[in-house]
Amino acid sequence: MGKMTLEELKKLRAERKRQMDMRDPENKTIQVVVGMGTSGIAAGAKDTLAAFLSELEERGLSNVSVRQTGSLGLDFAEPTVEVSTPDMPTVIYGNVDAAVAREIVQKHIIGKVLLSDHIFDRPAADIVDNR
Amino acid sequence: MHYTICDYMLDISQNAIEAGSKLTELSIDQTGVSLSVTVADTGRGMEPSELSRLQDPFFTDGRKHPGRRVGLGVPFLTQLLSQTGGDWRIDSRKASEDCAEAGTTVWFRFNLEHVDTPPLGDLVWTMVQLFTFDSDYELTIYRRRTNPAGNECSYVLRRSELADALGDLDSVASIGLLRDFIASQEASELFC
Repeated sequence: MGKMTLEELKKLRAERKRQMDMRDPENKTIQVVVGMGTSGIAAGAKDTLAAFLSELEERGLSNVSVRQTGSLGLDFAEPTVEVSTPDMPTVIYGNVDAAVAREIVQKHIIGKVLLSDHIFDRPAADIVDNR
Repeated sequence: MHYTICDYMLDISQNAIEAGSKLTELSIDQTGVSLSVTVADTGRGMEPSELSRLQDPFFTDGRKHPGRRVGLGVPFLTQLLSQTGGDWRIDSRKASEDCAEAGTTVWFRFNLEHVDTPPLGDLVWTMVQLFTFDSDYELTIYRRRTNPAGNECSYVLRRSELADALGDLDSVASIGLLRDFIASQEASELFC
């Protein structure tokens, strides 16, 4: 593989953005924040982040914002992930390994259904079943 | 515990960014027998009393994680280096009349021939993560590898240049392209 230049990178990004704007002109904002402090890294949060990116790319959701933060404050439940999507409550999921990350993309982000078993923080009790 | 050398590199580099460093330089220098890493930052720095307690796993500055009672990143690293014939040094300074700029420099070297030295890990992915941390900072990564024949390849990456080329560093599309870009720099016919 030859080394890519910054100019080539810029052109590739511009092309992808054109394609995405055609697919999603409203540009809705979906945000995924992964806790990546020392406890997160030790618990495998790097794999969690990689799984989110891979699943989102495979499903063509390349306009989603995926960020890292130092810690979401629930170290005992690492890896933890905060998910914000339009029309859904913002929740923090815990014990999110690669498989759960893919499930969050499929069920929460695409299917608009909360994964009740993995929620560690939520806005109101009446929104979540069995809690 | 962290597993790969990249896990430790990520943790120490994060410390620099979380210390408010506006300019951090990460150097990764690899030969067949050793891997040397330097993380030099312009963060708030440490007093000598704080520096002397860095290896204490129950020491934390209380600012980064207010409710926490441990600071494990540096103790994890120095313990592993001691067990695997590696070496390390940490210098730090607060801003003062004699030294206008605060900052910390962490240097460590792994002995790659020691049986207990962990694998390097996914360096490309680690660099992607270092560039996409959710904060305002400049990061420059200097990467150099020397093969047994003495041939060398190297490259430099700057966060500001990458952000300029990509427009953002938090969308899935940008992160995917960033990964491909860094992977193309890391791949070299000298090491196939």
